[in-house]
Amino acid sequence: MFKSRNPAITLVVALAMIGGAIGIGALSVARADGNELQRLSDADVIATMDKAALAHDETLAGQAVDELINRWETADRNVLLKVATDSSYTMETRSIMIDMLVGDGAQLTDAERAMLVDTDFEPELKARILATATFSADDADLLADFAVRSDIVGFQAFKKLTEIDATRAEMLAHQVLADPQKASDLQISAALKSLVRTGSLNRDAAARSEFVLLAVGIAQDRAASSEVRDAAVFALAELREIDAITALIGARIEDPVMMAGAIDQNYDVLAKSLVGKPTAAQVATVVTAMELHPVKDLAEPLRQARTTLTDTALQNRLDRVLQLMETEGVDGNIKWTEN
Amino acid sequence: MKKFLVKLMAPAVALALVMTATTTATPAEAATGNQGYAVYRDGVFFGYTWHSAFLDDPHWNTTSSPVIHQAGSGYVTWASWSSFLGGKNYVGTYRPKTAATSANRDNFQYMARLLRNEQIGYNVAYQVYYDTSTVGTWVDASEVSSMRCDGVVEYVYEWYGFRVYGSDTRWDVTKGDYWNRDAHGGAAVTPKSQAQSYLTLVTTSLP
Repeated sequence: MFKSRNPAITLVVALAMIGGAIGIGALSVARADGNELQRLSDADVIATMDKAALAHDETLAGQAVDELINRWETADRNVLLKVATDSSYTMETRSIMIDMLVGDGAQLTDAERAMLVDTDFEPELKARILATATFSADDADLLADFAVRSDIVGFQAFKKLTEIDATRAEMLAHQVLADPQKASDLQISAALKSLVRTGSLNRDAAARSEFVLLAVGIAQDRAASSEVRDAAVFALAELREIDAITALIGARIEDPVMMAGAIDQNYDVLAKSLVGKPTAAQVATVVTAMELHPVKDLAEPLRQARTTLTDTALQNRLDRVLQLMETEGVDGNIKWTEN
Repeated sequence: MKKFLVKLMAPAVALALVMTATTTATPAEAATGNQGYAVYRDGVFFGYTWHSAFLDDPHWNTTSSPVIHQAGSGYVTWASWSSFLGGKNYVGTYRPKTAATSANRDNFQYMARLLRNEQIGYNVAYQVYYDTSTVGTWVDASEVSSMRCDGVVEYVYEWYGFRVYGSDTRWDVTKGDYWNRDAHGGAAVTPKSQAQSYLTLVTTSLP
């Protein structure tokens, strides 16, 4: 792993005591190499990375990051906790400590919960914990308390609450969307994501219909921020339901990139709508979608659907879009189809 | 929800849910100029040479926020050209080695905006960081907890199959796997090497 060290690097190693909360020695930011770093303690490697980055010593900083990655799963947790809570380190370094503490499925410990509830602990780092850590059902109250906040901490907490307590997340989402004037853009964005990600809308057509109408309205609302408008389109696209993408295509929002991306994300959903004996309206929807963003994978389903059409005008449109798909179409992206 | 709905729907949102046969959609204004390409500036960026951003506008001066980038603090965001430069020098505009169509570049922009909408923080160590214990076959944008500036470029292009950095078996940073994530970490790839070795230069003039 990351053995691409430059052997020609001149080695002038100097240990420098940099003091601070954990009283450690760090390699000089002048010059060092990977071998020297390997002999350092976890604390010293971290300090070396931090200082080298601040000194714009890209060689040493890069080596120290590599060495830290080598220790990702073995580094001393006490050292990681100390650095994470030590404001003399850069936010970037402290963020990495949090990744090492709570990443990859590690259960949240009381020490990390203490950081979350510490009113002096930086919100950016709280958000980092919320975005990265694995929470259990026992943490639902904690997350719900944070999720009502209007800032980035609230946004990340909302997303996590959605994962572990869908019912509470949905309730909160409905509260936010019922009175959006009192909600921040981040809260509205999180609420839209939450309602889609619990999966309940995929199971409840009536609720989905109401949501689709709401989200399309937001996407078209020129008074709304780009943050919120985009969130609405992303939510509709992420639903991956034919009624949602049909509504979006029909709404013709003004942003061609958002339309194109949403159609791309739903290429297989559109293809499935052509299976069997699609109505002329269903075929027209797909033709419109392909006019906006051609995807080659829909060519054959459209050719099949053409045989069911009696409307000459629609047939002509379909023929034209098939040519467009052939010359300018993109391949369907299977990554969108994973549940 | 209804209250919100009433408020938003007041201007009478007319959904044309049923397309007519003769209503040809105006083709999307597919990416123009240098939209969907990656731009780089020199200087060291938290230990890495150069800094990268993603061009969301056709040109550097089309709007006041032409790029999307991970600035090193905060979250993936839209930014001004001067904010991207940070007092350093623009060095070039790059595209994937496999040429991308306008439709591809629309997709690139969509994904960059999606990363922005997910409020993804900065990561010093990895291009793209996520929980390998829960990730699926592919790393959805919603699963990314943090990323580096060059990770934005790497993720966007490789989500759509445009290879940037990496070995034949581990090049796709959007494939969810511990070793895959690891292969895109540390100094194995930097913004500078990403641009110079794994992308194609479009122009050194202002995009």
